[in-house]
Amino acid sequence: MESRINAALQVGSGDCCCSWRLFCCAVQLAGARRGQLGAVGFGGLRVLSSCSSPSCTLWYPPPEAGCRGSCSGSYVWRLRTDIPLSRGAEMKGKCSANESELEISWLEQAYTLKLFFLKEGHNTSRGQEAFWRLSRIQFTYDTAERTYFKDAVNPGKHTASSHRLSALVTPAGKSYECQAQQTISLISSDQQKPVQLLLSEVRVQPFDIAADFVFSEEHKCPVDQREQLEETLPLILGLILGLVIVITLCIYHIHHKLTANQVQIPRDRSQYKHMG
Amino acid sequence: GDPGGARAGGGTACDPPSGGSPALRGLGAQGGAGDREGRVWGKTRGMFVLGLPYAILHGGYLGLFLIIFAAVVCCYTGKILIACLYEENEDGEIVRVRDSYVDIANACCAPRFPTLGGRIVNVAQIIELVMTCILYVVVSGNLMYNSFPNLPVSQKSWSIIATAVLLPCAFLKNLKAVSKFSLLCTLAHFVINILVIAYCLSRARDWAWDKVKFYIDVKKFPISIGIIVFSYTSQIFLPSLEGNMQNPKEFHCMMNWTHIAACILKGLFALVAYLTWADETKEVITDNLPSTIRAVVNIFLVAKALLSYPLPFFAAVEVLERSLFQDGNRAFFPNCYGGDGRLKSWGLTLRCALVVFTLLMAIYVPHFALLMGLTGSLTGAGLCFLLPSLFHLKLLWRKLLWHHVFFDVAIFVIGGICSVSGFIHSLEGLIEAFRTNAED
Repeated sequence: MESRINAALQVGSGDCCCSWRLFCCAVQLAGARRGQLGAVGFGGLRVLSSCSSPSCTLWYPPPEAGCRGSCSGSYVWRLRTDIPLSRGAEMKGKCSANESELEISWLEQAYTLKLFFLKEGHNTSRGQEAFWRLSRIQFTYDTAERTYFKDAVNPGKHTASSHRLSALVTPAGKSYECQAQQTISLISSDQQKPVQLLLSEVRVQPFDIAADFVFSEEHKCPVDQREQLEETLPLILGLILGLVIVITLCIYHIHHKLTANQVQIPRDRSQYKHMG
Repeated sequence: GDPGGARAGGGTACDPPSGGSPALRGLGAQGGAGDREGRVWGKTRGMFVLGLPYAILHGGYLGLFLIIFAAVVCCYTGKILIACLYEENEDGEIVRVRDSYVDIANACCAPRFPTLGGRIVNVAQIIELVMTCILYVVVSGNLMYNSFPNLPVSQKSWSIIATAVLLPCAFLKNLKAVSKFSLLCTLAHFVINILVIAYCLSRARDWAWDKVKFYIDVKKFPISIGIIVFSYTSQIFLPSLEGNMQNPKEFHCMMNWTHIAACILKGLFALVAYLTWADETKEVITDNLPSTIRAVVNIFLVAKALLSYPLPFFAAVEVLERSLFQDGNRAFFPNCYGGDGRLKSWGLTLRCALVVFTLLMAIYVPHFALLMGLTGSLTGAGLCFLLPSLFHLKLLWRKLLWHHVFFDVAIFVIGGICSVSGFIHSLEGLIEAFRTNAED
């Protein structure tokens, strides 16, 4: 991450609506190649309309809203850093019948991720069923740590926690599996800044573990289930189509053979004018 | 980093370009492969006419002029192609000696290579027709997928369903049935046009007459050229169309009127749609419509795509049967039709195989739109501009007046330029699309 940004702001009033153009370089624009940046204008966050490096353009108000008077603009950069969970992380935890806790820390306790799981029973239409879920997340990070933070404004340890969370809901006795990426939002104690936890390729089971390092039967997340359905559907449809073709050809062949003995008016195709 | 608001920079490579006039909008940011593919997608997804307002967005008055010019050129090349079918016999009468595009090609290369020309034209025709068929399967799959994003049905599944619907095309026997489908297709197209134009007229007060530009967007206009030019191509079907006419003398009249009508309708459509949305015009004009009308239009677009499939499919089947499956020592395989004129079972099997082939290509070929641009700029431009003028010059050289020669040479050169630039453009797009895929 570059800590210095070379940027220039050009404010124009073209054709009655204001447009800002931000020119920047040597900065990975947040997100993918065609990134999304938010610009604050007249109360609220607006996503930039078009962004292709090295400049991003925003029209405010959007042209269909009608035209306003004068234009003025300024920009604020909000930097984002990605902190991956490193492979050599240390693990601690507590497992009990109804509550479990998993604590993962890396880079000498500079970053600590705590996951709290809860098991409960619900009254559903089929009777009493038990589910477990991820009920709380606590992420502690140290902005004085040099690898992922450069020249932080408030160096020191901060905590981001979840707010009324209920994720990874799984029937009791099963493990949770999700290959797709999930996002869980947390709020930091440092000026309420947003922190996002991105989970992918997850397999976790906090309760009812049969033996050491043995997962119970997996329960797939809805996105994975949908993807599985999406992938098997073409095969099924293809097989059905193939079957339909084969049956049609057989019927035609049999019909052809049966009616071949009947007297047919010979329809010669020599007079037929071809296309092309 | 310390966030702060400031006017920074200066003296570096990141200085913003000066001036904000619309003429310079073409310079500066150009989208990556995804944008380019999206643009070519727009071209094919809208099945040409719906992409015309976008061409006006980037071409201004030049785009309108190009619509008219392309109609004139395509009308002319159609007429000279048909003129190649006729020769003057000993009595001085003009007699129809050749029957098809293949015959014309063979006659041109006659002394040394009696069948080479025909084979080239055959291959070009088959490629063009099969690619068009595959395109319609891809387009209908894509349209359905975009109309129902919440269903777990992927684009592959929709393509398979579309092919299942199109399977009865394997039973087509003659041009009558095909022409019924074409008529329905034209009706669907009219409904789409009427819906769009009605909506545009309802916003007539907001038309931006001053937005039609005189200068062109240098980087984006070449795609518009492709959209405009290839919306008039019909030369593959002209020889048999003329042969099936009851009164072939009316052919010239028919060509003139159909091209004038097409030109006027397309020009008006493009202009009206552009005036309604001006700078917001999207590559496929239906994306600009509000969602209720867009849903209805999408249904008609899917219907149009499915109804457009029989014509190129039938033509491809005919070309294949004629070149590969005739009785006699010239062909490789025996006839598809029995003595009583009915289709043999294995003839039907081959037709079903062709339908399945178009499905497999639609599913497994990535970036199909770019590939179609690639082949289209070769075969399409060849069959529409290069070959007719070439054959006309070769066969009727002695009878041509100087202005005919001039037109033919000019069309050949312009067609060659269009073809080469389209080929290079599509190749660049394909390479970048594959590189983006490899990086992801």
